[in-house]
Amino acid sequence: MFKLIEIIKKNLRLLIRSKSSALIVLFGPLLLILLISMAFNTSSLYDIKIGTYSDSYSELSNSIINNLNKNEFHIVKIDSHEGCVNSIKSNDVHVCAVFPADLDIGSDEKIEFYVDESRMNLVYIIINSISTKVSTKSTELSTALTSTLINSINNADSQINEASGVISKLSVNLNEIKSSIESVRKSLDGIGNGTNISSLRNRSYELNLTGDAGELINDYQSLIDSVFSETESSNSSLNSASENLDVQIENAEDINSTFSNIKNNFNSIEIKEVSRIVSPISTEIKPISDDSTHFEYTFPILLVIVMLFSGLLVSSTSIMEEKESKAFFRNFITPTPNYLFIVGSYLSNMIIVFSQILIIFLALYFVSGVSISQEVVVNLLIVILLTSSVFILLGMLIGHLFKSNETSNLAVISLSCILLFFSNTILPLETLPVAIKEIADYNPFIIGVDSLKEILLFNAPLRDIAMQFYILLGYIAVIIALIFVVRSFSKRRYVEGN
Amino acid sequence: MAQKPFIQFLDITKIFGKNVVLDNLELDIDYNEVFGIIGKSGSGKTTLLSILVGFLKPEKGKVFFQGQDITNTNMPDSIRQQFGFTAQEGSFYPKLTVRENLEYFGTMYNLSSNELKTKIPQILKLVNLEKDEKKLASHLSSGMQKRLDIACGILHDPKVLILDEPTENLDPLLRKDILKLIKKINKEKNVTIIMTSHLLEEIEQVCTQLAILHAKQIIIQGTINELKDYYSKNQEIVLETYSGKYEPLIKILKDKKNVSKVIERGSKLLVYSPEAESVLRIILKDLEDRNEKVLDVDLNKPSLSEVFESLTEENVQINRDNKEKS
Repeated sequence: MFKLIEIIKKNLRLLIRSKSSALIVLFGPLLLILLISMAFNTSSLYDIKIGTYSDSYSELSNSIINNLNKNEFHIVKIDSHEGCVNSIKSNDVHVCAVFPADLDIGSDEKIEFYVDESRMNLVYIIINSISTKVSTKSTELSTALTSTLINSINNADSQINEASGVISKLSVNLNEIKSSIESVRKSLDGIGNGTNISSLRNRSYELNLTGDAGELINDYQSLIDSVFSETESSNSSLNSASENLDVQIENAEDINSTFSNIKNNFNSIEIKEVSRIVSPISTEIKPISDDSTHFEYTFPILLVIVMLFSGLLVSSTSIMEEKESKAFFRNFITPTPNYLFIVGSYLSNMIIVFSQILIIFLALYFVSGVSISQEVVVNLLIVILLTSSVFILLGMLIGHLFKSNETSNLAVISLSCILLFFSNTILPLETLPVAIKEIADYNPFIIGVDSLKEILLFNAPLRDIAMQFYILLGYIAVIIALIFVVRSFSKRRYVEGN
Repeated sequence: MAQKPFIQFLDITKIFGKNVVLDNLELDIDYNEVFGIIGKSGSGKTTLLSILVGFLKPEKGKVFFQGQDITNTNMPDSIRQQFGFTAQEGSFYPKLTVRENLEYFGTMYNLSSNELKTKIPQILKLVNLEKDEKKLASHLSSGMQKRLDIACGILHDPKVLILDEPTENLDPLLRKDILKLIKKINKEKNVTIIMTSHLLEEIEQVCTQLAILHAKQIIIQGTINELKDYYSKNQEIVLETYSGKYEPLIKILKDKKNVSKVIERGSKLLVYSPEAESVLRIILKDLEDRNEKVLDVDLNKPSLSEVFESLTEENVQINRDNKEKS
C-alpha cells in the first residue's frame, strides 16, 4: 500500500511539475464547461438566416415570411433563384426558401426549401423549426376555408329543416284533398248508380205518358241523362285528379325522405369544430424530461468526451513518459511487482480524470446553477468510474503498445475519432448499416453516454443499466489482461532497443 | 571443497532475434571486489548486467548469486533487494527533486518511511548532495546527476552495485570525482561493485578485478596486475616505415615461433614477442634488405589499453583476409 501511494504521489508530482500539463488538466475542463454551458444553455436557435426568393411575392408568401421573421429566423430576400441557392453554398444563409409566383390558396405549386445536407444536424433542426412555422400558417388557412364550408353546411341544414316542414304540411294537405275528392266521387257514384233514379226513369218510359206530363217526363229524362252523363264525366275527372294527387303525394313524400336523408347525413358528421376538422389528429412533441436546455441534454456527452480524451491522452502520455524516462529500467529491477506499477498508473490517471470531472461538476454548479440530486450521485459515480476506467485502461494499453510518443498520440487520436464518430454525437447510429450499428452499440462511448443520460436525465436506477454495467466491466477485464501481456512485450522491446 | 564464487555466470548464451549477443559466456566475481568488465560498444556488457539483475533471461546457462540460482526474470524480492543498479544514462526522474527520487526508489526497494528518514541524509552525505536535496534532478549538473543515480542505487544497502559505464559523458574532473566515490562506496559500505567501461584508465584506477568481453565471450579474467604480467612476458615493438607496407615483413614474422602477435594499426605495425630484441633485429635486417626506410621504431612494455587492444583486435592476417573479402 505504501508503495502504491508512493507510485501515485510520484505520478501526480510528475504531472504537476510539467506546468503545461497541469494547466491543461486543471483548466482545460473548466474552460470547456464554461464555454459549452454558456453556448448551449438555451433551448432556442440563434441567428438562423433564411434566404427567400419569389418571382412575385403574394400576400400569402409575405405572410409566411412574416411568420418566420417573427421568430428566431433572420430573413434575407434574394434577387434570384440561383443566387438564393448559392447563398447557402457561400454560408450567407442556412436555408433558401423559393416561393412560387403569386402563391395563393389552392395553388398547385410548392414552396421549395433548399438546405445544405452536409450540415446535417443543423439541417434537421432548421427543417423541423421551419416546418412548424409553415404548417402553422397552413393550418390558419385551412381553418378559414373549413369554417366557410361548415357555415354553408349549417345554413343548408337549417333551410332544409324549414323546407321539410313545408313539404310535410303539403303532403298532409294533399292527402286531405284526396280524401275530399274520394268522398265527392263516392257521392257522384251514388247519384249515377242510384236505383231510385234509374227505376224512376224506367217507370216513366213504362208509363208512356203523353201531353205535358209526357213532355215533362221526357224533360226529366233528358235532364237525368244529362245528369248521368255529367256525373260520369265528373267521376272520370275526379279519378284523374285523384291519381294526380297520389303522384304528388308520393313526390312530396320522396322530397321529404330526401330531406330527411340529407339531414341524417348532416347529423352523422360528428366533428363540427373547425380546428378538429383541420387537424383531426392532434400531436404535440414533448420532451421526456421537463425544463431541460440543450446543455443538459448534451451534458452526458460532454462528460464522456472529457473522460474519453482525458482518459486516453493522460494515461497514454503518462505511460509513454514513464517508458521514455530514465527511471524506467530501475523500476523494472526493483523488488516491486509489475501489477503495482499498472495499478499505480491506473489510479493516478483515475485521480486526474476524477479531478477534471469534479471541476466540471463544480463549474456546472457555479456557472449554470445545475446541481445533481443526491439520489443519483452513487449511480453516477459508478458509471463515471467504469466509463473512465475503460478509457484510461485503453490509453495505458496504447502507451504500452507503441514505441514513440508520436505514434501513441496518433493512435489515441485515431481511436478517439473512431469512438466519437461511431456514436450518436455526430450522426445518429440509425443512419449506419445494421451490421455496423450492431457493432457500434458496443462502443464504450455510447454505453457511457446512454448510462449517464439514463441516470442524469431520467434518474434511472442502477438495475436499468445493468447490461451496460456488465459490458463496461467486460471491457475493463479484457483490457487489463492485454495490458499485462503488452507490458511484458514492451519490456523486451525496451531491452532490444537498448 | 572450493568455495563458490560470490557471483557466477555459467555457460550464458543470450540471443536477440538472430543476433547472438553472448555465447557460452563464463565469469566469476568475488565478494567485495570492484570488478571491471571492459569491452567495445555493443559487445554485450549491458546485456550481461541485465541478465544479472533479472531483467533478461538467457537462452542458455545459469547465473548464481551466493550459490543460489537466480537465472530468472521473476527472481524473488529478497534477491532483487541485494542488487543496486546505475544505468549508463541515469535512472531517476528529472522532474522530481533529489529527495523525492530517493524517497520513491527507497520505497520501491521496500524501505520504510523511518528507514528513509535515517538513510537519505546518510546517502546524501556520502554522495555529497546534502545541499541539493530540494533541487529538481533536472537542475543538477551532469556530475551531480550521476551521484544522484548512484545514491538511488545504494540507498537500500545492496550487496552488489552494478554501474553501467558510470563515467560516460563526464569531463575528466567529474570522472575522477565519480571514481573516487566508487572507491569510497566499496570501502565504506562493503559493496561488491561491478562496473563496465570502455575507458581503460579508469578501470585501471578503481578495479581490483577485470574481465574482457569480446566476441560474445569473456576472453580473459583476472586482476589488473595478472593481465599486465601475462602480457609483460611480451614486449611490444612499434614500427613505422615511410612506405607503410608491411606484408613481406608480416609473412616473415608469422613463421617465427618467438612472435606472439602481429597487429597492423594505421601506418604502424605492432609486434609482440618475449624475445623482442632478436625479433627487432630480424625486422631491421628485412627492412634493410628491401631498402625500406624506418620512420620510427620503439620497444615498450604494453599498457592495459594495449593489452585490451591486442586481445580484442583480430590478427592482422585475418584483417587482411576480411578486407579482401569485402
